[in-house]
Amino acid sequence: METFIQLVINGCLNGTTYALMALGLSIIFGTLGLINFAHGDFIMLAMYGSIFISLFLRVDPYVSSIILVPLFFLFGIVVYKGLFKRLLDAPEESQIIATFGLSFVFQFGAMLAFSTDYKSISTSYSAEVLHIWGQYIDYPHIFSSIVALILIIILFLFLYYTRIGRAIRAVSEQRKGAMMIGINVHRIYAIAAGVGLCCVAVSGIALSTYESVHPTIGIHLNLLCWVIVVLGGIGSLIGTIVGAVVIAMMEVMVGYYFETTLTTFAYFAIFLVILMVRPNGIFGIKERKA
Amino acid sequence: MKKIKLPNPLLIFMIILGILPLLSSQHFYLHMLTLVFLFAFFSEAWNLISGFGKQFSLGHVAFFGIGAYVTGILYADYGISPWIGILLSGIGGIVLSLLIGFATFRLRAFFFALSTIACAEALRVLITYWRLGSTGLGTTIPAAKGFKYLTFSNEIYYTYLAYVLLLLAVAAAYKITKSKIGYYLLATGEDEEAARSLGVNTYRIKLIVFAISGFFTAVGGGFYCMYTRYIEPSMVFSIDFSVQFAVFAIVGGMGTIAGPILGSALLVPLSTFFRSWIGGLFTPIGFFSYGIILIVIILFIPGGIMKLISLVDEKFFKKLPIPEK
Repeated sequence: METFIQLVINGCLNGTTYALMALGLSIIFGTLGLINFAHGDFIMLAMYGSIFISLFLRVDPYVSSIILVPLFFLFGIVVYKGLFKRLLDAPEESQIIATFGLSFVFQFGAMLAFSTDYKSISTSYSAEVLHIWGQYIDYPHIFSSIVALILIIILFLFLYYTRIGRAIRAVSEQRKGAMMIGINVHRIYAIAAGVGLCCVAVSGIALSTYESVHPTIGIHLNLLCWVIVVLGGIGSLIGTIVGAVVIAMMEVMVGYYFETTLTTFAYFAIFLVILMVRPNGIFGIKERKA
Repeated sequence: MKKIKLPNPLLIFMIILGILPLLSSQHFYLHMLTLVFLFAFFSEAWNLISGFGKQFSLGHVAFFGIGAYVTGILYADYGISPWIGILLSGIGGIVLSLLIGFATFRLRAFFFALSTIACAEALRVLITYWRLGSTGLGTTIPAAKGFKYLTFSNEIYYTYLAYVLLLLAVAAAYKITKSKIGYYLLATGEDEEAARSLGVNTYRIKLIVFAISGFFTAVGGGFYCMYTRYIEPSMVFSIDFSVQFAVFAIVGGMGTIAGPILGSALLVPLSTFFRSWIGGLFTPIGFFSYGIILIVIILFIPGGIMKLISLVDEKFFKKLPIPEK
């Protein structure tokens, strides 16, 4: 029982970071209607960014967010103007090919720039453990999930209580309708891409405090985010959060009771089962398209 | 007036390809041709479901890997002739493709793309766990000489085997495009709802074609394993392969029969050149450029080389354009 509680705690802690990661994807997908297969590689770049900034400036990875988050917001706008905008009305398979190409550019660009070595960072609290009620929880995970939780709350406040946030939701519901009432759709799309990448930046920073990064990690992260989004239900932000926690729990359980390497296999199994049983996810809205 | 009936250009093209291995007996030349034929074959198989059917698969390496492993393990561990192994590989490919197809073909296109990647990754970890648990080494295919064990001393045999595979895939693609299934498939790729409303069972068509594509890819994987004589999960399930299959077909022209062959004839030597001449730290440049090629082609010339050819043809020869699909 002791171990089980420990596993549940770990699952929840991982789950919040995953939630933030997947929310970035969910926002871009939900608002732009764009299938982004390069999401994992954006996270990979954010992890490298966090590590390099904190190494060069000798600051804590979380402090590097002061530079990294605005940078990624701009990055999102640039990627939107450069690529996503041209893909908005393209057929689904073109979006898949082009973003997959983007993922390759990032992945092998990172290989050229940073080599294939695993890179990690050690902070003052890397090895510190909180001992509470008979459970051991390490500080990097605690901090990352607190930061992720704060950001998720900010994100929801932004989407529901600001003008731009409401415009984003309006556009994601109906593009033409939003255009008709005078919303500059392309501006909102660019902002949504930027906001999505802000989530990516913060989750990349959080992840870099306890995971090492290498150029091909993006494939895994991309898969992880998509499984979460599909599990939670496409277009539902709450669903994404629930999906993230479920997947994180499953990952921890499979890792403990079976084998850590088999978690990817479990994603695939879960993914196929969801698609067969409930293709719209736990909180999904019914899709009309075939 | 009597019309002169020209032979099918595709047939001429294939015959020319068949003569190429005879031109030189240099090992490197033949090796290169083998790779070109083999990748053209994979690309052709990929093109069946993803080019004609527009069901974009990013994890075709799952079939490739399962093929390589079925053939390799049956031979290395149980001494079963690779010829039988390759056939069983093909069946493995069919089973896997049906599994993915059943789950995703009723849903939006990207579920399919995603689950093909997920499948490839899942198989990679599963086989890593199974085979490499303690040793950390891949499986070496023992070298027993002879036709029975698909082992030849001269490279040209491999070249021609790869050519035969390519020929089979081209024949299958040709047959499919000229058959009812092919028209249904094109209609499905073009507009699935419209096709369904006309009474096409799009789900079944996609399953059939995907199974054919999976079968070919797995067979090719089995052959590849006998050609390289060493398999390792991180190698034969590497997403790099999936990308190559896709890139060659996209560059050559998706949804055309000659496209994948043109694409791989152009890019295989190029990437080998990059790898051997530049090499070392700059090896990733090859795949880096593939990423850029994918984006550029999708944004600017979605039809690939075949589209360019048909444009030139139209402009200078005033003929009917080559049907794009």
